[in-house]
Amino acid sequence: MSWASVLADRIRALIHRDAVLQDIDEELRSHVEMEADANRELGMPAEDAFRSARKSFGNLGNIKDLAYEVRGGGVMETLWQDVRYGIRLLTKNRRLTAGVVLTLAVVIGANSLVFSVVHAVLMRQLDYEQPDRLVQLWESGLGGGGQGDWVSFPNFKDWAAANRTFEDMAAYRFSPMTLSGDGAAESMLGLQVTDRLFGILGVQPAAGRLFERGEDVPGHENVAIISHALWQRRYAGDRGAVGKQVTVNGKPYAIVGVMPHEFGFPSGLPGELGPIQVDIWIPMLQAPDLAQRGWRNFWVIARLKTGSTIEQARAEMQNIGAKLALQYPATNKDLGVAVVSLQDYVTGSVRPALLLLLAAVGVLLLLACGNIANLLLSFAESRRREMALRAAIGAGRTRLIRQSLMESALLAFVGAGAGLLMAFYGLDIVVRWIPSDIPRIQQTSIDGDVILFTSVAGIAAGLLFGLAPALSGSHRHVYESIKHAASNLTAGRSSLRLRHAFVAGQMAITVMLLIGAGLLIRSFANVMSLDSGFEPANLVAGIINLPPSRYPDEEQQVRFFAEAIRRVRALPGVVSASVSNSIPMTGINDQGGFRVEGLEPGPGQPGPEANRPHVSVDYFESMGIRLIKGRFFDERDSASGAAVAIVSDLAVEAYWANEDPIGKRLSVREGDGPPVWREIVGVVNATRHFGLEARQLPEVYIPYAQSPSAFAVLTVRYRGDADQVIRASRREVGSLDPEQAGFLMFRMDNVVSASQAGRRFHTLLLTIFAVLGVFIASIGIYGVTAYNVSRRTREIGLRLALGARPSGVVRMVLTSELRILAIGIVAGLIGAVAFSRALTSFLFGVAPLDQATFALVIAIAILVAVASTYLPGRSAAVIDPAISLREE
Amino acid sequence: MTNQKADLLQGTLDMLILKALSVGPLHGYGIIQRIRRMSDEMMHVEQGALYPALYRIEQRKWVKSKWGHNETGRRAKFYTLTKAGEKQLKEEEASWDRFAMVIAKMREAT
Repeated sequence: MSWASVLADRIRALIHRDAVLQDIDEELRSHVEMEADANRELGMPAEDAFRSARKSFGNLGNIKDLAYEVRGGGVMETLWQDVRYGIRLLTKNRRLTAGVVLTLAVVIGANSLVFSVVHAVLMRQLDYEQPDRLVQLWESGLGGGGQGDWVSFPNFKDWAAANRTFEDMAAYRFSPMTLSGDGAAESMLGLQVTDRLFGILGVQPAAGRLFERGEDVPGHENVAIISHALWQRRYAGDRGAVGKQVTVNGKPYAIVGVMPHEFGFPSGLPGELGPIQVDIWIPMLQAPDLAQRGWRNFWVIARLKTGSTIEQARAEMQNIGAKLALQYPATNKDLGVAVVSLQDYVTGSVRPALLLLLAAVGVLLLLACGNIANLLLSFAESRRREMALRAAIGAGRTRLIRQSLMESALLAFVGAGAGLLMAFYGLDIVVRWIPSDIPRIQQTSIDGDVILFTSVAGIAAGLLFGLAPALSGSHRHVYESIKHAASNLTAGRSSLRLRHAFVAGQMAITVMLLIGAGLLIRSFANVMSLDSGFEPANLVAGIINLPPSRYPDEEQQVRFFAEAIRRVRALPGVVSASVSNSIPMTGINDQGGFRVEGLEPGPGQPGPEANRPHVSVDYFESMGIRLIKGRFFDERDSASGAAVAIVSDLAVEAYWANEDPIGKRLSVREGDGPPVWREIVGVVNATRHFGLEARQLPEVYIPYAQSPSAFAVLTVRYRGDADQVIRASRREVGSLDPEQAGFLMFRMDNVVSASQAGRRFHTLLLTIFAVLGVFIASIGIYGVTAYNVSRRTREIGLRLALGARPSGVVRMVLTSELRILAIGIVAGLIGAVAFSRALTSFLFGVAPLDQATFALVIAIAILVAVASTYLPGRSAAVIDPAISLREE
Repeated sequence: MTNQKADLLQGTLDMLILKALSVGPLHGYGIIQRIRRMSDEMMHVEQGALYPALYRIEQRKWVKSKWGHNETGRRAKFYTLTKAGEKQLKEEEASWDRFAMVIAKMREAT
C-alpha cells in the first residue's frame, strides 16, 4: 500500500531530518550548477551564467520548503516539535509540573488500585466452562428473605426431574472431614456431591478422573477427588496419589482424581473463617436425612440449557415450586424457588461496596482534575504574552490549541505512569489490609486490563484538565493583551466564569463526599456497638465430626465429648470447656421449628422458628453469655433427668411476652411423633448467629446430654496464648482418638472482627477519600481565590487609594468569593439528598437524610469556605495602593 | 486554484515526467529540458513544480533515484523509471487517449 510506504518515508525523514534537508539542498544546487554550465556553453560570461541560472529558479527557499513538505516528517514532525517544546516548558516550570504530576500520580494510582480490585473480584469470570450459564438455586420465601434457604434433597430431586430449562442439576453439602489412613489424620472441609456436579462445571482434572454417572449410588460411592493444594501438601504432587486407599471419616475411599491448581468449588465463597477452601469431594453419602423433605442442608447448582434464559428458568421453577407446595403442604407450604446467577451469588455481597469505592475514587479524580485545570488556567494566563507573540508570527489557533493540549497530554502521561507505578507497589500493602473474605481478592494484580484502565483514566484526565486552558489560552482576545495596559481588567472574562464554575463544582463534590463518608461512619459506629451476645475474647472453638461408623450410638458420642471436655479443662490456662452443636457468628447452627405449649399456630400459619443449640453444662460460662433469670444447665440435666430448656430473651419477647417463662413448656421434636415437653429453667442473653448485621432468631437451648450428636463444636475459654491452647486441645482430643487430632480450631475474636472487616474496610477507605477530597478541594479553592484576588489588585489599589477602609476591601473580596462557594454548597446538598438514597443498602441505623450528619458537613463546608477566602482577603487588604496602581 | 484543477495538472505533470524518463534516466534539470524538447518548446515546467512532483512520484515507487555524475562530471541525482512506473505511464496514456477520443467525438457532434 502506497500510504504505508509514505508513512515509512515520513518516519524515516523524522529521524534523518538533517540528511533529508541536505539531500534536497544538494540536488537543487546541482540543478543550478548544471543550468549555469549550460548557460556558459551558450556563451554567457561565468558570473552572469550562475546568476541567471539562480534567478530562473525563483525563490529557492520556497521551493525547498515545498520539496520538504513532500519528503519530510509532515504532521508527525510538528507533533514531535510540540512534544519537545512541551517537555522544555514543563522542565522550566518545575514546581507546577511536580505539583500536577504528584497529584495525578496519587489520584490515578488510587483509581487503578480500586479498579484492579473491582476487576479481579467482580469482572473476571469464574473458572468454569461458560460460567455465565451457571446458576444457584435456593428454596425461598421461608423466613429467609431474598437470598433463600438451603434445599432439601427430595425437593432437589423433584426440581431436577420436572424442569426443562436446565441442562443438568446437582446438589452438594458441606461436610467437615477427617482424612487419614496414609499418614497423620488431617481435618478439612469437604463436599458431598451428586454425580453430575463436575459435568455441570465443565472442568477437567489435573490427574486421574472425575466422578462418573451413577457413582453416587450405594455400592459405588467410595471414590474421592482431592484438591490441588491437598495433593501438594499431603502427597507432594506425586502422581501415585491417584488410586491410593485412604480413610475418610472412618470409611475406606480411593482417590480417583486430583483437581487443577486454579480450580475451586464452591468458588470464592466468603466464609466466616476466611475464604472457604474445599479440599476433598466425595459422592453424596446415603443417609436417612436424604429422604427428609424438611431437612434443608443442601446447595443446588444447575446449568442453563443453550437458548434458555435465567428469566425463563425462574418462571418455570416458580411453577414447579408451587406444585410441590400443594403436594407437600407440611414441608413446602409457601415455598418458592430462587434462581441466582452464580457469578452474582459469589460477588453479590461485595459488589455494592466495591462499586461505591470506585465511584468515590472517580470523584476524587474529578476533583484533582478541577484543581489542575485551575492551575493550568492561571498558568496559561501568565503566558498570555508569549501566546500572543506566537500567534502574531503565524501560529494558527489550531496549532496553539494543539501545543497546549500536548503539554496537558505530557503531564497526564507522566502522571498516569507514575500512578501505575504507585498502584503496582501499593497493591501489596492493600491486599494485606483488605478483608480476606472478599472473594478472589488474592487474584488482584496489575494486569493488561488495569493498565488499559489507567491509560484511559490518564487520557480522560488530560482532556478534562487540558481543554479549558488550551481553549482559553488561545482565544482571540489574547491578541489584545499585547497592546492594552488595561489587560488585567478585560482579558480572561470567560476564564473567570470558568474558574467560578470549577470552584463551585469542587465545593459541591466535597459536600457530597463528606456526607457520604459521614453516613457510613455513623453506620459503622452503630455496627461496632452491637452486642454479639457473648465474649469473643480469650475464646477458641473447634469443630469435631465423629464418624458414625465408629461412634454409631449416642452413648459413645456422649462419652467421647465428656472425656474430651474433662481433658481439655484440665489443661493449664483453660478456664472452662464445653461442647454444643452450634456456635454464634459463624452460621453453624441448628435452625428449625419448635412448639410452645398452649400456643398452637393456626391453620396455614407457620410455626415458631428458632435456633436450637444443644449445649453441654458449662456452655454459657465458656461463651460468656449472661444469665437473665433462672439457672444454667447443670448435672441434673442429664439423659435420665427431666427434660429442660433455656430460652433467650428474644424468645421470651416473642412468645412469653407478659408472663414468666420459667416453668412454661416447649418441644423441639420435629416430624411425626408426640412432642417432648421441656420445662424452661432459665433465660439468657440473645446471641447473634448469622453475623452482627443479620437478623436474629429466638434461641432455644437444650442440654447436650439429652440430645447428643456426633457433630459438636468444642468451645474453650482460656487465659494466655491462643495457639498454645489450640495445640494442647488438639493433643488431648487426639489422645482420645487419633483420627480427630487435626480438627479445625479457630479464635472467636478473629471471627467477630472478620465479620466487621468488610464494613470497616470500606468505611475507612471512603473516609480517607473524603479527607483527601476535602484537602484537594481546599487547596484548589484557596489557589483560585488567591489568584482571583491577585487579578484584582489594581481595582483594590484604586479603592484603597480612594479612601476605602481595608476591612471594607476584605469584606468586598470575601463576599464575592463566598457567594460562589455558597452556591457550591447548596448544589452539593441537593446532590447529596439525591444520592444518599442510593446509599441506603450500606447504612445501618442511620437515615439517608440524617440531620446530624448533614448539619456537621454544612458546618465543615462553611469552615473550609471561610478559611480559603479569608487568607487571600487579608493579604488583599494590606496591598500598598501605590505599588498596585503602578503594576502593569 | 480548486482542487480538481490542481489534481488534473498534477496528474498531467506526473505523466510528463514519467514520459520523459521512459526514454532513459535523467536528473531534474535534464527532465525539464527533455520535456521542453518533446513538447516542441510548448511545455515549460518550473523547478518549483517539478521537484515536489518528482518526490511524490518517487514516494509512489514509480521512479527510483541515485546520485551519479553527468557528462561533464558534475554530481547529480538521476531518476529511473521503475516497472511500476512503466505500467502507470501506459495506463495514463491509455486514459488520455480515451479522453481525447471522447472530446473529439463531442466536437464532431453538432
